Amino acid sequence: MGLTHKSTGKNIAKNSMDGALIGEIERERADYVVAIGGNPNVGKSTVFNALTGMKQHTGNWAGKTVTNAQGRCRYKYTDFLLVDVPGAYSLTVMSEEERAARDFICFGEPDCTVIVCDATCLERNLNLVLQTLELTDKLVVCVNLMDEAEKKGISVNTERLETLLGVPVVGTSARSKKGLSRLMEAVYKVCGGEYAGRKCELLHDEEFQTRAGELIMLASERCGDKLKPEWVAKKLLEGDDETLLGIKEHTGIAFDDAEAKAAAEKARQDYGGTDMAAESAGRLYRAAEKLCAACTESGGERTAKKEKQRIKLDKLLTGRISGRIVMLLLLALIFYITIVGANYPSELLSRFFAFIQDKLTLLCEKIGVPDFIHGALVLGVYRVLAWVVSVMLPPMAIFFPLFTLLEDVGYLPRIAFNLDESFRKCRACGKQALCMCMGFGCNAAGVVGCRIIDSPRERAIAVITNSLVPCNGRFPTMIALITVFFAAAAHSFMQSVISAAMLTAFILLGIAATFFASKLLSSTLLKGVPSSCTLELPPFRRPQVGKVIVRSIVDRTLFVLGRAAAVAAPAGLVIWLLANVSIDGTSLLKICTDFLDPAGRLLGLDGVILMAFILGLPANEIVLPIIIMAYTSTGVIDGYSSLESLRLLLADNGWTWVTAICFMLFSLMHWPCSTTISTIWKETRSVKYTLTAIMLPTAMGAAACIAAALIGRILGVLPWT
Amino acid sequence: MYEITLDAVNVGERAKIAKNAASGAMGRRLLDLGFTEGAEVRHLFDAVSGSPMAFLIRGTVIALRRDDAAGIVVRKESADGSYT
Repeated sequence: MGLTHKSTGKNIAKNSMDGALIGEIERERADYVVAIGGNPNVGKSTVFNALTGMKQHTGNWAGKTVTNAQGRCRYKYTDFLLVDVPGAYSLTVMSEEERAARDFICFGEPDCTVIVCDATCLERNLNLVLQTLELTDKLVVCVNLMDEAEKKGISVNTERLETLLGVPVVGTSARSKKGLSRLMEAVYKVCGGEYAGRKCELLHDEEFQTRAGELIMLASERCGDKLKPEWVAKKLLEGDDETLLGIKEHTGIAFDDAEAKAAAEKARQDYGGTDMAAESAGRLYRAAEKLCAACTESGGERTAKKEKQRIKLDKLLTGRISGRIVMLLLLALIFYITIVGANYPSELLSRFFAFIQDKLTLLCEKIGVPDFIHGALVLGVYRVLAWVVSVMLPPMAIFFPLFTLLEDVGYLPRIAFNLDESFRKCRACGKQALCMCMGFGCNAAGVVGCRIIDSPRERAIAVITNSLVPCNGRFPTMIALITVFFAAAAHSFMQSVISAAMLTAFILLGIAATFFASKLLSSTLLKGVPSSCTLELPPFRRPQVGKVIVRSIVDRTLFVLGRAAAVAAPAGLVIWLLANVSIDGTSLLKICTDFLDPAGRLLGLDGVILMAFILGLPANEIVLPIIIMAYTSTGVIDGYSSLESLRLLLADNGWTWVTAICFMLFSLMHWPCSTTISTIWKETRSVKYTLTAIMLPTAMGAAACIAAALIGRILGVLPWT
Repeated sequence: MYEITLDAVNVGERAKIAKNAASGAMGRRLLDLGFTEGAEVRHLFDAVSGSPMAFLIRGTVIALRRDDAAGIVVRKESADGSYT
């Protein structure tokens, strides 16, 4: 879901595509700049957070961090600026998130690079370490998850590794904050130049030195000491145009002339025309294998037993029948707990706010505040705010931690695994499921998360369809309506079960709509064949329950709520003014809603509801409060004190259960909120895609509403006119 | 010695990678993930419809689509456990 200060709302702008690049690093205020990189899902963010005391959200899946995050750390009277770069398997760029990592490590000129490794599968991590060593000597290797390795019976000899690599190697367990001061000591020393000049013998390749000698000379002539000539020569030899382009872009040194090309071609000939990319990748991995064999000891049976358990669990979670049942049950269970848990606190909060409102009114009367001001502030601003808080806060405070737990355990990639084939049939990528999950938190975050998808075409599909998954701004509203219209009469236990089941059904509808829209896009606007898709299934980890709860409430819930409240207050004022300023005896609100009424009726809604959706563009949270305001400000005041009174109010204004269904359908499928729209624009830089992302869900929602309304009319629940 | 493509390795069986025949971006991606010549892979399980397939490679579980797995040539483990 990835909803933190960093990844939500306006800060997305700062961290988007064009931002968060090298130029924006506030280098001048720190003594040293340190890049923290590593394979995906090895605990980079945990190390980063532990060092900086920051609250960058961590999760158990590859692609959690899609932009470079920065934080500060003070050690031995020295200021370090730490940059947490997205996880990457290598320094070759395949997706946008990897570009952020590669650009910073290769061209950001950090004073030190820390590569975080997973002690439980060191071999693949050492591959990235070796790649980084080819690039720079200012490196510290942090072997993280030592505790997890120990549990699996794997031991890592860090001293030996340090000797063989020629750069400091520090073992850490970042979750329990072990080894971090030793890590900083190593970083401090590397920044101070203590390890300068050491060479890693492993990387020295006689054959390469002779055969690519001319290329190395050429590179060293052009690069000076800006880049390591051997590395540039290797890239030339591999014909890695992407990296060469990156070099040109960031350093201005070009190798696209005839001389360089001829030299590269000649060296390739010398090698006998083999696939140089495969050759050098294989060579590095063989070196990593050797290193790993020399420095780690696996626990034999204990390791095998852990492995077996894990595969068993994976088979359960991805099985033909069990996989789907688990997926559905987990979703329904989360909603059930949310609904049951939120019910009572919501009630309590709204009573409390109603009580305060009475007191405020009395106070206003006492000190003689004019009716107009009282109306605007208390009945307008305050009442909308009270609604947003009492209806949104409890479900969010329960849903967020629950979902974060799922994320921490490592369940989300299994969802992507299960859904990949369906996405492939829609000619999209299974990783889109991960973006969808992030969309549950915030669609803007989901859109940014789409960077994990390699193919630009498939990424565009994921971006455009993301808002078809209801974000947390929408589903508390849906919960309220479901409870009011479909479960109110039932016994309290059944009430929650029905609500959870209905909400799950709506979410499934959203997922189905995502598939439909993806398929539609791949056969029209974004034609193409499904490209490849690789997905890492990380080991299951025990979530840090306490931390998850605190963090997700403080970071996500309060932040999202704050944003909603910031929009709700002025919206409350506007709507109150519209309702109370009249032209020729008709309020402005009435004029607007009357104008929208025919369109609203067609959709099974009414003018007020449609207007609320339009005014709700900045934040979906405020749609229902606007409706309530619009209905009540015309006289009836007893508004929101309980769900029952909400039902009466809506029924008085002509709502039936069909209206409620249409409302939820439209809430599920309409234009994304303004934050999401601007994020889509920043991520795609395409007017066409941004407009499609607005129009497509709206068209789908309108079609669904018209159909539902038609059925309602045939059933006689909704009037024909 | 007999060579087959990775998608033909049965669940539970091991094989060694002989050649990564995938080209372009996917070929590069597979190399980065450790699907290099000589690496040992184990086919762990499949998704419901047979794709994607989950492989254990260099200590990590990586899922590949069946079509992508078909681009990797492997040497299969023979009955006595050795690679032919």
